[in-house]
Amino acid sequence: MTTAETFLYLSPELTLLLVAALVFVLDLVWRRDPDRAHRWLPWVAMGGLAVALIITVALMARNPSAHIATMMVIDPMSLFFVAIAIVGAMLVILSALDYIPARTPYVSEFYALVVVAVLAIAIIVSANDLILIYLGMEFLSITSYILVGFLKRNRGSVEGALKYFLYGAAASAVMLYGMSFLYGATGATDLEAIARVFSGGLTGDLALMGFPAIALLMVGFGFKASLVPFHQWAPDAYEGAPTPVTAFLATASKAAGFAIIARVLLVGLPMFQEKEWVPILMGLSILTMTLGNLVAIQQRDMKRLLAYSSIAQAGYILIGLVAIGRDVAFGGLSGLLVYLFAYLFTNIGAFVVVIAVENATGATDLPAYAGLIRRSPLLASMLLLFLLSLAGIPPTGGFLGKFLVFGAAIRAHFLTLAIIAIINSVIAAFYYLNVVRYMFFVQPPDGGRKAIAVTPAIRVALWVCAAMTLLIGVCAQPFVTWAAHSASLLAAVW
Amino acid sequence: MSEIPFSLTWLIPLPPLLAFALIVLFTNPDKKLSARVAIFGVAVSWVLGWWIVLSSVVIPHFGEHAFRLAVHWLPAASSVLTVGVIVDPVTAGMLFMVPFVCLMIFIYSVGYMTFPGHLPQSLNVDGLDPRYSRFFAYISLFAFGMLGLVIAENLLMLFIFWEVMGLCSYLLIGFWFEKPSAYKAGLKAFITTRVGDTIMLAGMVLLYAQSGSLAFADIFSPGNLERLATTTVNVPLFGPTPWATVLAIMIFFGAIGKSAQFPLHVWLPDAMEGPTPVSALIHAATMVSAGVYLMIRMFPLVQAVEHGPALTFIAFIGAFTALFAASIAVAQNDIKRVLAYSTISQLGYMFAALGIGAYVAAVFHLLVHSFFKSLLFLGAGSVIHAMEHGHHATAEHGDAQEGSFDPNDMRNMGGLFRKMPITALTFIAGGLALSGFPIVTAGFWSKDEILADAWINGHSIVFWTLAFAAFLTAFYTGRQIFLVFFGTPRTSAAHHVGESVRSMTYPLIVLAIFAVVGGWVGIPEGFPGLGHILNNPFHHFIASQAEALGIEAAVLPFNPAPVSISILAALGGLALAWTVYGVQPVESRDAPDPLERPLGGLYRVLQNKYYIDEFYAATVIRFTIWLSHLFSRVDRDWIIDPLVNWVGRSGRRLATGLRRLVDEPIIDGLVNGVGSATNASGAFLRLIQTGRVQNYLVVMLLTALMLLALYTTPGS
Amino acid sequence: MIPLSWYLVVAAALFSIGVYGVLTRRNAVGVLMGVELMLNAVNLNLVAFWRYVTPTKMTGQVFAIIVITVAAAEAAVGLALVIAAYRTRRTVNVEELDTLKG
Repeated sequence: MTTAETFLYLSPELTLLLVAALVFVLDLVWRRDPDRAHRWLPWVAMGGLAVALIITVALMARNPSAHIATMMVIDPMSLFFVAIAIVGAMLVILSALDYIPARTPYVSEFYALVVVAVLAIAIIVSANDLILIYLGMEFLSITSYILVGFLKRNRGSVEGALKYFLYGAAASAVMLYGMSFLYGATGATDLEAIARVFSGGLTGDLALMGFPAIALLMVGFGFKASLVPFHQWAPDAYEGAPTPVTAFLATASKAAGFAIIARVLLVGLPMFQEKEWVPILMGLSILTMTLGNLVAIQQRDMKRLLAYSSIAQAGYILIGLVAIGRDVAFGGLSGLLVYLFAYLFTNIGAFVVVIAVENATGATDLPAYAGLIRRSPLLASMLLLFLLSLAGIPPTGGFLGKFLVFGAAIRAHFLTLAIIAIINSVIAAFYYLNVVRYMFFVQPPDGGRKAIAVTPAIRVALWVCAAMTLLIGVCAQPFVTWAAHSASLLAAVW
Repeated sequence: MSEIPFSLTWLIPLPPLLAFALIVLFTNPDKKLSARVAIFGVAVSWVLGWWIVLSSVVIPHFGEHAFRLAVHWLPAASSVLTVGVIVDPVTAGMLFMVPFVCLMIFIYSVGYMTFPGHLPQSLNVDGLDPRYSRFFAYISLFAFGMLGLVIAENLLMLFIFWEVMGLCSYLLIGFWFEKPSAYKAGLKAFITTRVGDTIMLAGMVLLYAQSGSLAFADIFSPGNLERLATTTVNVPLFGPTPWATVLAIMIFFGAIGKSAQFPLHVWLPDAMEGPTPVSALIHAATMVSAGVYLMIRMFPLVQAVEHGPALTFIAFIGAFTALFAASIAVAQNDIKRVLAYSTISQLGYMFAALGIGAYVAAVFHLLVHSFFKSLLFLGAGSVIHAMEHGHHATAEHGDAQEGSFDPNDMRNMGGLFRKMPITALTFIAGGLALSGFPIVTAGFWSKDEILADAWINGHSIVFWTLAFAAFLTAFYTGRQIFLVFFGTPRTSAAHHVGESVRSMTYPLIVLAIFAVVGGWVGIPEGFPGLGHILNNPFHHFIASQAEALGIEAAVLPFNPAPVSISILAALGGLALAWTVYGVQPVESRDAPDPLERPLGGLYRVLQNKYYIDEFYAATVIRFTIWLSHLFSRVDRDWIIDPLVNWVGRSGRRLATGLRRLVDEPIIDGLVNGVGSATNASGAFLRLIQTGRVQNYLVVMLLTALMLLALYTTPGS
Repeated sequence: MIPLSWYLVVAAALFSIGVYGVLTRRNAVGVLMGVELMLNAVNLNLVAFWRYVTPTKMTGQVFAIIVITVAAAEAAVGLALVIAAYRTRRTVNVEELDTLKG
């Protein structure tokens, strides 16, 4: 590949890097005029993200399968996840416009860090080599630690960040230990070479080191995607973090976790599918959705409830990987992509409502949502839509995702898994409905006289999320086709 | 045939949806305008719907070339999921009934939704319900769901609209959520029907797995039905069973929940907490009959195994529910609850009809019942409304004698015929239709067809059960009419009632006409004298579809025996009601019911609905609550506190163990270390969120250790 | 020559000591040091594998150097967080940082 081509394929990443740097520099340039910085820098970041998104979509149209050395692969699947991360970050920035300045004087860094986090995700999702995978994951983790602890005078924020950090550091060390064995077993770090070595047969020392290596890798990946039992950092960090950051962690960052699991397992370790990673993933999936849902029922804080709900959702998403099939149109992988895409808008939308309520009342517990329908019909009906989508009720995007993923499981003869998942979605409907009950049927303490104001930025974010949530459910075909196409190249490699 | 009206079918559900969006987003503050938007929306649907109905009835043998229009929605497996519409005779029948009844009820609601009595009068601004606009938004959304359901081309779409209606039902039952009983009833309805829906969903998934498509056209292709009927699955306890039977019964559970059949019937009587137009629309005329509609649609699957257990099961549940609910209705005093149990009972009739293979009769009774039952509910609403006004009038005059006044209680009424003649006459017309008053009313013809079918095809148990239920039906209907409209007013509120406003009485009159005339299109051809005037066009219309689907629907020979028994049951029931309640009217509202003495303990059992609610409370609900307590204890008391300490301790023990590994002889340390590790892994299983990051790391590392142990043994 | 397995055993022991530190230290800085030990065990593994499996390619060494670099960055952020925790809570004892739970 020529240098020009390399730059072309790396242009989304380069754009993100430049934008982050630009925000930092402008913050310095305008340091005597912080008002100006606060007013313009989010839009600089938004504009940069928009440019990166356009480039990403344009690259998608070229339908590439480009290797950059052996380190990165730019293919439709990686671009799919880059697009998810960029869109997620844009929505998060919109929702943070009032949230962050009200809580800390350090505003510009926030936008820059969000862009940096997107850059980290862009690296992870196209990484094709253990070294770059580690580097990208650590990059994203470190950025996330800072974002979670961004409100450094807030006890919850700092506590969440420190726990997240300690947990993440230990998890990545365990994962790295696994990677070192994978390297030792194959003498290679790029995924395709690893697959080539293993395809020679699983005998002798190779197999002996391959199996434990995968088990250890799962720790790091499970941490990133917050799969039970590697999830325990998540509720604490989600609750403590500034809510826009929670929204980012629960969607874009989690999506990156799934992207890396899919690529490493499908490209690097297909030989271990039957024997090792399908049973492990199936166990994790069952644990994840069951525990997430059961504990969510007990929650009285909306942020924590959504934290456990997003843990449970990760369990459903994982089914897509368990039930991976060679039939791409209905395969688990494309189901997983559709699920993640719908989940991005649904979950961010739900968190945007949380942010709006938090901005107005300062509270995130369930009683703060009592009688929301009277205080803000917009917020209440939006949250209703997002909760319905999370519960998987048609015609929302959440339904489509569940439908595709569960359907893939049934077709791949994982009937038990599908049944457990369906039972779980029934349990989940219970606590989602409980929130609806608060919004519609519980009398607000002040009689509901005080309306909640919704700023234009939040309004835009809400409408985008709601429109996409519905659009994915109603006009499913193009999204399914897009996902199937994105999954196809990876499936072909496999 | 002309394509034009049929290709517009997909437009039918949209106007109410649009109205819903308009009301929610824009016209919300203007109550009158919102009501007009809603009525206009459903009126457009009505015009479209009847246009299609009229275009279809003129086509001979319409059932053989039913209209189907489908576009691809999303790819699934080997096939493609489609969205589309279907118009066949059954759909046409529903399109005749649904938008029209909706329109009548919408108009009625304009007058009915005045300021509710349970709210403090200080909130009363304009004499209308504070959530007037929201009410019209919800019922518009409901109309969208129901209209979408009847034209759905595949089972998945049907299920989606099914759930839309479930949501609306939940929102509307709990509409007056200031009353705790109302929102509890909403929740009860939602959760109870969910039980059925879950089984139905599982059935749909299996059906999809078996036939590779959910479109009705594909499911009912002869090859597929043949395959489902012959391939078997091993069901625990029952041994090998054909797939068709298993699937039909699983899907039937959805209908049991939605149509409130035994044992999931408990939600419907409580659903009467909703505003009365809602009870009429959702819980009598349309949504509850969606369950019957579903089974009519799925009938080819149900009878794929001839005389199979699926048919028997449906017939049994239907007939049992018909009798069971009718007997409860005898002892109820709430005017709406009597009607609710009567609805359950009549829906049981329809299922029983399906179960014995009387396909056309089931469709006929479904349609006719919707007209007279919505009429009865609206009439009851008119009475309740008048009673509330009467109560307010007495309260203002200062001679309010009762502390808590229940406007629904029939014991408070009496002698209302003179006060509100239009309501009374239309209600009596509906009541006679319900009890199957011979020759004149629609209910007679539809019920008679079911009974005749049962008799001629030799289903004697079903026949006698239904005949006895018909007798009870006539009796409780008569009881209700005599208690409400005849005798003398038993409270001062009943003295002060007056006729309802015109927006309420006009729909009553229109529906009353249909409740009488509607049955004449289905008079059996063999019926002496009357049969040849119209030649039973309804039967031929529906039978053309039945034949196209391979369902037996021949014209039955006329048999005088079932007809006379049915006449006897109707007239006998009414006569008995007249002797008990009509000859000597109940004088005071505190007097015991005349039935109480002769029936003794049975009366109390009936009044308490066979204690089914109590039974559920003592078993299922108690178990669930116990389970949730257990979970919360596991979480709060058993895990967080003791286990955290224990894990902390074992962690420290692990530490001590490791220290000894360095300090003391290796064996000693090893033993301790292993012991601690065992302790820690035991704790791992129950460890939950403690707030301490090191506990989390213990969980993580032990999981990793476990995975390692699982996958390092060679050959595993 | 010393067999490969010796290096692996030493690395495993080092890793376990790191885990021990991570699990038992109350001081957040101590936990962080435990993590560093785990990372060093990984580096030992990587370099040993490089020497014995692919001595002609640089992969293992590069990997180890990247791990060292990243660990330094991670420690910087970690210590910053520890300081922030001390400022808001007056403690760096990880057992006392348990207000978010359940």
